[in-house]
Amino acid sequence: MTLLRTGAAIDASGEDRRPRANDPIVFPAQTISSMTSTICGPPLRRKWPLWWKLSLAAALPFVVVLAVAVGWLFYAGVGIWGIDWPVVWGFAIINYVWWIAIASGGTFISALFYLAEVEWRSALNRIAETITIFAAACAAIYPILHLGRPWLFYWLFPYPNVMGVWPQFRSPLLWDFAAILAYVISSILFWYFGLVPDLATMRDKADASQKRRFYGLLALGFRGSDSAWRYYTIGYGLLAAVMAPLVISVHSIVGLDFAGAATLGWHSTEFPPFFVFGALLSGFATVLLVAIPVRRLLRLEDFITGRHFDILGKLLLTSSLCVGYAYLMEAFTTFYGPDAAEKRLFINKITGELAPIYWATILFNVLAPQLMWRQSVRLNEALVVLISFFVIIGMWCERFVIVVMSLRRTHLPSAWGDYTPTIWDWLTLFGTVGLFIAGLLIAVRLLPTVSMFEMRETILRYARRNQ
Amino acid sequence: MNAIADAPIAPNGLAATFLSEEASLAALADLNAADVGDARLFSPLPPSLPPKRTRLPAVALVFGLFGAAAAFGLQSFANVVAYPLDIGARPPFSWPSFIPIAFEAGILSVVVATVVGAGALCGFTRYYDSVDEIRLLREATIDRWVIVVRAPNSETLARSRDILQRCGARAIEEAEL
Amino acid sequence: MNRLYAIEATPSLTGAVADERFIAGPRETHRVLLALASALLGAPPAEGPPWLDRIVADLKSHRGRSFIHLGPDHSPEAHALVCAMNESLGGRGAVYTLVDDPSHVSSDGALSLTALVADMRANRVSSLLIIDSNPVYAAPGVLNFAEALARVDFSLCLSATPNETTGASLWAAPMIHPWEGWSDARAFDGTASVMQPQALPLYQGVDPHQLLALLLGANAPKSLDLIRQTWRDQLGPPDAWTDALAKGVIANSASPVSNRPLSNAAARVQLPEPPKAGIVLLFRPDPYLLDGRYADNPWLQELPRPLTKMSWGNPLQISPRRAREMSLKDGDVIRVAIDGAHATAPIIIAPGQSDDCIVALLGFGRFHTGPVGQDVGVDFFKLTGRSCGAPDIQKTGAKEELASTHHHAMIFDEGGVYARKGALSQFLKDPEFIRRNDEPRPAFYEWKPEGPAAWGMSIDLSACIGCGACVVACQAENNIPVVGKAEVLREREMYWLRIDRYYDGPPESPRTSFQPVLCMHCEEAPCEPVCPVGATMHDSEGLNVMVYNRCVGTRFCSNNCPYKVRRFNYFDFAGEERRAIESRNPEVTVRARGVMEKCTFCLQRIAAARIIADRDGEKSAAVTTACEAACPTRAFTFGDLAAKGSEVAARRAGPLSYALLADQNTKPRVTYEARILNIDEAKGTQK
Repeated sequence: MTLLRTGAAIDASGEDRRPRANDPIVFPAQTISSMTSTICGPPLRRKWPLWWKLSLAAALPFVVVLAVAVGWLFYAGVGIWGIDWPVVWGFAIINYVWWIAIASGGTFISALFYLAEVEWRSALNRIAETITIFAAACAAIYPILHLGRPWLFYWLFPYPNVMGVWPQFRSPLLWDFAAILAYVISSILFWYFGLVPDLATMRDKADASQKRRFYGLLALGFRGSDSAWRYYTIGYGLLAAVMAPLVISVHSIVGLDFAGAATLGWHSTEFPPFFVFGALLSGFATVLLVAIPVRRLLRLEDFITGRHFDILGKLLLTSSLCVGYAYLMEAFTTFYGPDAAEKRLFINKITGELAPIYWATILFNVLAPQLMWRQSVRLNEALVVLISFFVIIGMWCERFVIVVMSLRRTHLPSAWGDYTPTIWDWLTLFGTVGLFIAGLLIAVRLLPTVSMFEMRETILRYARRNQ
Repeated sequence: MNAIADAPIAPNGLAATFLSEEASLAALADLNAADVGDARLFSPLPPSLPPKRTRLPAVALVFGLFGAAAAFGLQSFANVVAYPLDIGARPPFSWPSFIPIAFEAGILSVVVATVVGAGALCGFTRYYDSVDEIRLLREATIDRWVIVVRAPNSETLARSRDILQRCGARAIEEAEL
Repeated sequence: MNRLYAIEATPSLTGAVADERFIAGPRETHRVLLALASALLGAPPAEGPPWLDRIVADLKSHRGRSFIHLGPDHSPEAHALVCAMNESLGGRGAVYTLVDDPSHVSSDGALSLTALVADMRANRVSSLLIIDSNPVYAAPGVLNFAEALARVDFSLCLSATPNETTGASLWAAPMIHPWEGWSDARAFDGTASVMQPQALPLYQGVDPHQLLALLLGANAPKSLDLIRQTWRDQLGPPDAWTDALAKGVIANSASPVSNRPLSNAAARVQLPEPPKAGIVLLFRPDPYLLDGRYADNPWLQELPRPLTKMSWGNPLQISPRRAREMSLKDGDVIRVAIDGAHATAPIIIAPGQSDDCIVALLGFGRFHTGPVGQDVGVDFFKLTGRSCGAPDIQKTGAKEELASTHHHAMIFDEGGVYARKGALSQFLKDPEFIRRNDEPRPAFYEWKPEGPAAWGMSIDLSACIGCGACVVACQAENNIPVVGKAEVLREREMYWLRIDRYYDGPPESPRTSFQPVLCMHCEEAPCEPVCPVGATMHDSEGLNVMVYNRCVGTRFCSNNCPYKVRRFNYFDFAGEERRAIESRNPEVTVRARGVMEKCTFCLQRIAAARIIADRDGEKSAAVTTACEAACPTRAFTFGDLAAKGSEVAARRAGPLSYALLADQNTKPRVTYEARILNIDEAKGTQK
């Protein structure tokens, strides 16, 4: 039984496995055989450790809460939430954008950095893609939940019908629908495609016939023949090449959900790239937040090393600077432009009743990650977890500022309003968090957490370099 | 998979495991030079062989363009021909707003075409192949490079065995392929 | 152009619409009356407030064309004095005439309610008949009518609905609706009218005329015979009866103009002393519930009051300075006690109110009425009729949420950006001054709807008095649901048309502007391109139509509307209303949960007009929207812009016409005509 300890993790050789500045990309003690055993070990285990059972037991009630909240929502109507007039969008849209940004971040690491041919990616891309899958699932339920008549959501899909009507394609929400559909399907296919060789490994490593059958079915008969590998590599490269622009376009389109509106504070061309920066930041923070405990609990210290911490920390810092630039530009364009109502709204954002949320955004998204300039902070697991958590909270606050603060203070002062979230808003949010964590736990239980075939490449390349 | 027999009745192939990629590639080269039959390499990671020439990228591109064009065409058809509506006095053929959906449809088409195409080329869902009778093949997805030779006759079989042993094979197994 | 000066203690519609408004509490009004008397009637010199000199000068320079009107809450002596002033200004016959009021309240003290209650209390009344009245609730509190009623042996209350008096009487009988029986009425000038029944009584109600006749004798004639009997002399020839029924009035029944001269004593009358120093508690009938008779009417409970935008409650109105002195904010609960009676109510800050008075609205706090009005608000009747001593005010420290549709403090529209207005002098100098600073908006792409008609509307802000009749007419016509206090507190009221109230100037005495806001039916509607299912689109006649059946409820359209005229059915508001199905307008869809709705330019009336035009072979027929029909000052002008000589097209072309939020470039079909105030400067001075 291994419990999470924030101090030194002692392995069999008695060496301290805290992340260090001079860590290699993978520890030389690991061969491809030992790596395979280490990674295949947890899913093939018969009994699972207490930490896993406790975590799942803690997460499952939230899933139940989510089911209850959604059921009550469908029964009673969307009025159980705190949305009103003129703030007609609230937590549902905030949470949707928050989740999809987290999801997009995973794809950045697995697709974009594949094209950049970086060697640190192989230890993290499976975690990143799994985060994408479950975060995208959590995101995808919200656009249906927030509809006034959710049972008619399929009208957004262009299907031939007796009424002869089509969806209204100029709407940014419809672009969003297409983008999310494409993104979810592509992410699932990309994730599965990348899993196939590892599933083959699991099939061949497993002893129990039931497990062999399970993984064998999923492995689609992959054997690792040279022709299969070569076609596979071409296919994988194609997918990565296409997923990278996809993820940028998806998050730009999410930004257009707002930029395509005439609402004060939204109608700005900076929104698409601003949202992409936000996705980068959310993604790196979530990967760190998940990878650090997984690294300890599953004994992956030899694969996720100080180098990964260092690089991810720098990426977090970079994306934080990009997001800070976007905030600066928002302020600049507001005051450089002629619209008095925009200026009034911005001043209300920074000095009004909800100004603490705006400043929390600045603090958590821009200021807290600046600690990452110091390498000692980047290598300190506890601090990195804390900063990543702050970033996640800060990104949520940023969405709150965007959605609620702009809708509260509209063009006409007679139409100003307020927004008070209800208990159902909160329960739905925490329910999706529980769903996400439960999904990750189940994925960790069944699937290898590191991409083994890519890890083998990294190990062999590293061994060859240091011979 | 059926239970693997202890020894094949009429062996017409060999499987040999190697500990390193270099050794396996050298053995593969030797086998091909000696022209002993059909030799295939099974490895736990993509081998360092020259890439295959394939039309998969071009096919995927065609599918993508087709998907994008179809989506663009659908939007144009719906707004210009099928059911033109006055939506905020916007032009019926408001093509800039048709681009995002067309782009996403194109990407999705590429992804599906690639997964299906690459999957077909890789032999996905080919759950049984005669090489699955070889017990050593299991290590090919873990940490060994496995060469499987299908020798047409016993002379080539013996010659293959010599070459494999010379190249440093860890274990050799006979198989009926 | 007329110039209206308003002098009042508490904000009213008259004051909001006046060209210049001055605040005067009861003591100040007394000074004003004395000063006016001295200036106009040669009374002993009296010093009035400084702003009065200008008014007096205006009155004098327009002899024969000026008039002073005094409100009803003043003593008879004050009214006599004002009559004398009007006579001295020479308005009789030119500006006003006097008629014999046929139904004046008797000055015989023995016939007053106070005398009756004294008799009841002294057991001198054995039978009491109360017809269509609610004295247990609405009689002055000092009389304690309920206790006196308990001493009457036989009491019968005839009332259409159960109320406080029916609950306290020995017998209660249901009264028919006025439209279910024969009756008569007199207008203010004495013109008589006969009221015909529109339907036989739906439920077995009692006709009040019938009841009285029954009590007077066994062979009670029918109401119809009673009416004919009453008016036999005025009617004359027999066919005059049918004539009177057809026309609605009895010909030549108006009172003659009276030429009786005013007694000289009127000019020398002594005004009663004003209340001493301190705060005065003023009582006013609620603008919509009046004396409480409409407390069970949900439309009137929810309709936002014109100035405070309050619904479902009657907070005490306090001036900004007084609230600051007492450290009170909107919603703070205070306890008011006067002469032994007390009431606990929240306060609301009323800009423009005199510091010397607190205003309590009557008609709330009903304790025996239907489910809608029961216990809504606070009953202030029990404080009425008492001596004018200063009330004792104590803060309770509690706080109550006020269901006001202008939720956050006063909205200032400095410079009139939204509800534009200007001075007459500005207008005369430069008629286009309203639009002078509007930038022309170039069009990227022009596409006009093709339809034969092009519907548009022009709202005259000089005419709008903010009464709210249009709002409730729209609610009645379009089956707009009432949402109740809890949902109004959550800002989910469903009005398609709202009246925005803006303040301009210092909070103590601001200028008030009203602006009805409804769907602008923008030609380049920002709400239309963002609906993912195309549930909102334009029709060929320029209407932005909302397709309820197609709406899935993403609410993006509401985000994109800069005027925020769209309303969303968060719950099944229409389904939750307890009302008879027949009470809805059958020509308008009742919206389900999860669907967006907004003003449709009364599309059902446009469709009906098309049918009439087809039937008559005309190109188009006139259409009157519900709001246009209900507006007492004809502030709305709706019509076909494409029709020749249409009034709305002429108004839109006028120099005062402007679009709200023109910089959004939505090209709205609803435009406004700026308000012109008959003042000399751009900002009227108020002291």
